[in-house]
Amino acid sequence: MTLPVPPDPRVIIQNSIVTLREVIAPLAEDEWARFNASLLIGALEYALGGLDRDRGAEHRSALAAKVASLKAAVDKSGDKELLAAFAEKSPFVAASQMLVWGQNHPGDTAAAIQKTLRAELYAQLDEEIGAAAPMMGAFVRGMAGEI
Amino acid sequence: MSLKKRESELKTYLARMLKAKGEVRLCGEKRITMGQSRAMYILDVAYEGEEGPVEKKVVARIEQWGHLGSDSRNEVATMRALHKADFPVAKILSYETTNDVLGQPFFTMDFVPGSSVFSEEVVDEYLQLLHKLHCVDYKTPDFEHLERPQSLAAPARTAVDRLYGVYCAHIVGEPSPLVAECVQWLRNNAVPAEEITLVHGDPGPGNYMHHNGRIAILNDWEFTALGDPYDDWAYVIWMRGAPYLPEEDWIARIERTIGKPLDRSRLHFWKAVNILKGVCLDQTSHKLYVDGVNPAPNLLAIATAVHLDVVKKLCETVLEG
Repeated sequence: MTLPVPPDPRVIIQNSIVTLREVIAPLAEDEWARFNASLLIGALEYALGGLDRDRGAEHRSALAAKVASLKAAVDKSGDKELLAAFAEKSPFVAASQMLVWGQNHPGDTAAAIQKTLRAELYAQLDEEIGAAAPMMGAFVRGMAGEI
Repeated sequence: MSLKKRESELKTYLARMLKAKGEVRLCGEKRITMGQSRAMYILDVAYEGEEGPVEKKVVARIEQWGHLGSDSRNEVATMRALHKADFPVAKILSYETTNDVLGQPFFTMDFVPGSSVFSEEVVDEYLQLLHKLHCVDYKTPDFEHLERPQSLAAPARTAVDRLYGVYCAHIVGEPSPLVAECVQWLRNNAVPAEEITLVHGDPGPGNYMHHNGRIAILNDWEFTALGDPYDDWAYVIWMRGAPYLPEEDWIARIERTIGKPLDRSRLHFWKAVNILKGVCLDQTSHKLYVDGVNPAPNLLAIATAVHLDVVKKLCETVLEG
């Protein structure tokens, strides 16, 4: 590859991680500097994992589909407060309103909402926890004074 | 942030605060890694005092733009009141409420030697001190800065609403439907207190110092409030104390300390509130980081990995528990 074709951001980040880990971090004698070096390595690894996919957009569209799938059950309930959730542009706001409603109105409709939305939201949560694992590892190691 | 950039202002401030004759020399500066809501520095200072040369350590505790949703006002007033009541807290030396010296409000306090590393040797003494805190008479002018709950039902509901308010004020992008649902569950199942007491708000291993087998001081008073003492017991058992002793061990020790059995359903409620506390206060990191107010990577870690982990724990405790 020859400039002006710029280097792949993935390569820049990967090499920055190596430099931080092998050059900068070993020289950091101060506890706070070492903590930050550890966290920066974790932050770059976390960022690297987000380059290929727009997970935010994927979560949004998947949740919107789950909210839409509940329309028939909600229509059947005829509850105006619950129906109003479908007017929300954000599926996250709509899902919040529906789940809060479910806590205040236990029953078959609430159970259907909880089953559908929680399953999707738990899956998204688990995916994000997995994606943030490098950050968690760096934080835990950093708090212990390690890199 | 390094204090180096503000060294001149800090030295002038310390000279005035310590009543030094002439300049205060800053011989050492060490930022402590523990504690995320404040930047904590141990400063080695040397100066000519009224009775001759002085060399001492002073701790500076600096606010971080509202990180974790607290300021120093209650913290300083509470520490002063407790110190006056002979409770083991560090003595406040000064409180700077403006941003003029270090760019953020901060206070200084005596350095107290000791270790915050967990030691089973001092656990029971610590629990006795926490119980003693719950028995402090808060109906004195020294604690007037703390909001008084209007009823026994107030602490639980107020805690949930206050925490969710902090969360909502710091949402970046979209709200979490799972958090909203858990909050509603907590509102619907709020447990009235049996009594109102001083509550530390962040108690347990890591937030006290011990020295020679005795507790030296209790630390980190920024979340202190008047509320339900179960708030503190649950925090010790499931938050700060969880890595060190099994749940039933903590409960047995606490029951011995307070001389009566703990109400398990009340304890479970406050366990959930304390997990919510983590969820909501961690959200402040996200906004401060994304807005560029504080670019420190520990905020990114708290905003992402730590936050997601506690959201999952909240769901397991509230919705699946």
